[in-house]
Amino acid sequence: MLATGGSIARRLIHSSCRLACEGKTKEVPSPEEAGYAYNHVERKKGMYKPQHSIAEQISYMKSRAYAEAYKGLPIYRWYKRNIKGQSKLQPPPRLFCIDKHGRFNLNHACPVCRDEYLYFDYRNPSLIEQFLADGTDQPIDILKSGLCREQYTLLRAQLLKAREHGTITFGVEFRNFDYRQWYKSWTEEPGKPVERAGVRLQDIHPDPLVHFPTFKNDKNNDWDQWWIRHDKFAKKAK
Amino acid sequence: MNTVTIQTSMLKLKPKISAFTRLSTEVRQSSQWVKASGSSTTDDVNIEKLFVEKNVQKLLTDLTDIDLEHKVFRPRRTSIQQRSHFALMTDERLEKTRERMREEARRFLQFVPVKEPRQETVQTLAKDAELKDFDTSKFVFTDITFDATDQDRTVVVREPDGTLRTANPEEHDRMNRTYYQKPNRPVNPPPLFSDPYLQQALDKNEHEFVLDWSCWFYEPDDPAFVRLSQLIFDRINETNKFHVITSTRHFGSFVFYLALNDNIPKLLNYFGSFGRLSDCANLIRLQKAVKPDWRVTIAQGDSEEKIVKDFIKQNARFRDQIGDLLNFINNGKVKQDQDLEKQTFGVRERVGRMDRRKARITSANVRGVEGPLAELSEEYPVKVVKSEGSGERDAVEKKDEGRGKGRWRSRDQNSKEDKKKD
Repeated sequence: MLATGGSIARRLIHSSCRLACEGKTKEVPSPEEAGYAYNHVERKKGMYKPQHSIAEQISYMKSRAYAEAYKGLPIYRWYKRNIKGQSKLQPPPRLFCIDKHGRFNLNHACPVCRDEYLYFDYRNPSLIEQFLADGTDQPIDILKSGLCREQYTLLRAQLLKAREHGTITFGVEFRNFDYRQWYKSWTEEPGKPVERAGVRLQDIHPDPLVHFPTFKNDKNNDWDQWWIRHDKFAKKAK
Repeated sequence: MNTVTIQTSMLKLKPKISAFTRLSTEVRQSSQWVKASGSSTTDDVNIEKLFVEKNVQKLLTDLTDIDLEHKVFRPRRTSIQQRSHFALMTDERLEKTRERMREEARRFLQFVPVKEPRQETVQTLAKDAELKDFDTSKFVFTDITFDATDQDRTVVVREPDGTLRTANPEEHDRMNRTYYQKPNRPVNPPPLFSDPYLQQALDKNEHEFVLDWSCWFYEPDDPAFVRLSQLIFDRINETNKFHVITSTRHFGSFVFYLALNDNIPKLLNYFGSFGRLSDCANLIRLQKAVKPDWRVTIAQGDSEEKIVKDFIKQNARFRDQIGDLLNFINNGKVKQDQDLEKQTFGVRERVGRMDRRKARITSANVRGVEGPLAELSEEYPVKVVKSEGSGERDAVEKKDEGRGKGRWRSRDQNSKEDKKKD
């Protein structure tokens, strides 16, 4: 029931509407100017989520309304799932917040579904970047993000798209070339292959050579004879 | 037209096609790396041989400076999270460690091979008229035996009209990508390598990322790779953004490309604006090694300054393009390029510090406009559970009865209240 044919068709229609809207209106007024930034609706169950173009989303994320709502933190930062008990023991995330008819299924939607301007799109990398683990190009855990499964799937899809469109960059693997393969006249051996993030500090800066003797606790008691003999026999066995 | 791919081990076909290995050097009339617009006629330049010459390699290596912090080992997004490591060391030890890092960096600056693109022409192996219209799609046969490498793998295509032919470079590499998958190497080239998105990435100074990915994705002798890298090099030269490519593994092929096309004045000016005279001299030496001209040669004992001055004298037509270099040579003034530093800093900043998760709401401002309610705080009174004032305390706790934490904390008081009611 994640995406039935109808819901896919609905999304396609919406996305094409978005594209068409962008073509028509080049200049997007900021949400304050347009006057629809604040939404005082408390119970959204059964209501439709408004559709906005990506340009509107980007201008919203730069607006004062957004800054005041989220205070410069990731949008999931102050989101709390309505669960009882520890977050470790929480039930699995819900499948979707917005049903196949485009209506809110519940009052407390996930951080992306609840904001009428937000949806994942590769053209707005700043929203996707909020959901990436520090210093990586991988999304954080779904339970940490608080997203519904549908939005999390969209996040991963749009992240892949953003990488392929160059809006989100990542460390590409380093390709080691063997010149002998490419040039006939080249005879030199290639150096040891290297990889990005393969340089470790202990290789560059090894710890000073301190010799720690093998641990033999039974040194000065009756049992030390056992170890001495053990060494002797171990040598013999070789 | 859709394509059907089939993997086979084609031992019979192999001897027939083995003449088409990549190392075979065909004599070409003109190189793809030399642009036709140049005034000089390009006849029989073997750029591959030129590129691996000892002195050319040495000049290219000398021209590539090593910037450890901002370029080679700059923070990049990786696929796994890593810890930072800290070490306390003496000055001597630090210097040794730096030296070893520089050695390591030299391996990361290995140049991408400059190769002539593979031939796009295909060899027809058989024409079977009886197989005509056997299907509406092509059949691609790929050799996936253990000992076949990506370079000499046999790939043949059966056309719907019954012709059996060898695959062109695009089909060949696509089959490699299909059967031998690697991370970040999808089957079809990503949209980043074509224009609206390429230009957007270049506007953000992501040249190194695009070039790194393209050399990971394509083979160095792929016609598409040669075309793409030339396109990026041309745009760097047009927009004077040399700082994005210095101290990367692509700088060697970039300089080589410029020298081949007699297009060095802008880069010369860039070196001159920093007062790097030895780099200027090396660049001129490189150009004269790549395009030897008996009329203007460099004598053995020439100093660097003399080489540069001679070059300026011989090429008066570049005079308006090398203003900074002339300024340095004549007046000894170095242009302080501050926006450049800003740009490189911007690149680092974007990846380095990605989130600012710092609590900005404190007990001092939680009630005010800066708190979570913003302007709504004037309409609604903000109540804080953990309050300092004793007057508010009762009101808050009454409200919180039966809620998780509050219930535990105020259990004693609740029981007292119950007793009172009784």
